[in-house]
Amino acid sequence: MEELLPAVPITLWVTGASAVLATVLALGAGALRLSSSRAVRALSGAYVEVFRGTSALVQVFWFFFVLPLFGLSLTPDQAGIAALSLNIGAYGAEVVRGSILAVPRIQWEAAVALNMTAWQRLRRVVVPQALPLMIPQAGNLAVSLLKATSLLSLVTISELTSRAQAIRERTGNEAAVYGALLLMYFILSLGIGGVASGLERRASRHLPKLRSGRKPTPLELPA
Amino acid sequence: MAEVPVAAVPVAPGLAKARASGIILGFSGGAPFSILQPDGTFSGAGPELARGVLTAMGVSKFEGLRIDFSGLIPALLAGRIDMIVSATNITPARCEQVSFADPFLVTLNSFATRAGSSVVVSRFEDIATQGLSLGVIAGAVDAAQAAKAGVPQDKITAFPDVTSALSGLRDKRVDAVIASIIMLRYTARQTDSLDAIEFSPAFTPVVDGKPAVAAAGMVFRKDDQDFARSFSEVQATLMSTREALRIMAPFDVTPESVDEASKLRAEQLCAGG
Repeated sequence: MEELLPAVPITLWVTGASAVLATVLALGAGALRLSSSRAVRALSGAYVEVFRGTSALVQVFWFFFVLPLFGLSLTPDQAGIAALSLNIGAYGAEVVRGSILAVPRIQWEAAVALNMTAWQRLRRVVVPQALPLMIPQAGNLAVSLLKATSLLSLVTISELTSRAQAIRERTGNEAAVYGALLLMYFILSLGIGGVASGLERRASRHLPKLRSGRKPTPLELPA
Repeated sequence: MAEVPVAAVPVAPGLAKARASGIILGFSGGAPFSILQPDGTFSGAGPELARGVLTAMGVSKFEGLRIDFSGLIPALLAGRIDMIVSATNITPARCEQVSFADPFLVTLNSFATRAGSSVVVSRFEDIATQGLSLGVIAGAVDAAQAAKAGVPQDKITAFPDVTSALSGLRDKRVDAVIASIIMLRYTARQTDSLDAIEFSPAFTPVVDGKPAVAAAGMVFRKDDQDFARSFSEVQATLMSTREALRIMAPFDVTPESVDEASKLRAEQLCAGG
């Protein structure tokens, strides 16, 4: 079990870097999917469909083995993070789009009536209200991302799964090695769940509590 | 290490780059031909010999990348690694994609079976006639050789490495495992399963009427052919002075294995001889 620990920072680094990139991609593509321009909607739609519709494993292999043949040679780290960010970002884009659409129509109309630009509308009115809806789903995606980093073991990145495989190859002790590996991923995903809960609380900070004590979702707010 | 005279020919670009900025060696971790240590360093018969030869050629910086055996050639072609140093058998099919240096060791294969089981096999044909299931290493030549000898595809299971193949044998997923006898014995010893496994007498498989000698050589990209040739020359010197054997002996490599290899050349093996 202790032999796996040195690989934890690497797994966390890839998960974290991919999560940040995926968030940017998700917010960007999600918002662009609602653009008034058909071309923009089509392009962002294409990105989402392609990366949701093909397997993460194939995407990782593609970035690692195939891109260099076209002249673009990323380091293993870069290739892995790029593939995973694009993959999870595509799922995230749908979460963002759905959450934005769930904000009551009247908020949009009020913002337009106040002469806000599209950017101001999104940034100051719509997204803050969409955020509490996005975060639980984003938390789910983050846990998926953590587990997807195990795919990077196949492209020379020495994260948790790769290290576990090396130990297993040396000792043949599958039960102990894979048991410890399961436990490590479980502990790490609990951590991610905790972070997601914390973010959810922060995002609902501006809302008054309901009589039952919890914060309302945007759908429960007076239209 | 004795100074090796370098002929007055232009240095191959691959070698020049290796001397200047170091070289990335790819290996599969299939002990004892290549070993990934717990602390992250790598060793084994192939890597140590490669380091010896490359050092004599003026290369001083080495980096190792561990990739599953079946992913090594794609990684080489994609430029992820500059050389494959775990033992890769020279076959005409592989020669179409990559360049080999001359072989540095010749191995014999063996069938590993569960101790006490009634399975007795000594050739691929035995597997076919007895209707048994066979474990092979993914990417190795054994799958094709088994198929040619009549073993049906659905009776052949590919494992990523010898350890998982032996686990598969133990768990009765397969009735026999074929691999180099040196790798089988070493891995069985490492995983404390020597008592549970029996090995058939070591042999060279016969394919299409000819012995398919398992001669392993270092692998380079096709455009590093000159590098491969220079490497072969220096390697030949180390083999003739027995230095190569001295380097590889701690990894279960026998004098016969090296002597057999020194009689063979990559070109003839690529041509199917």
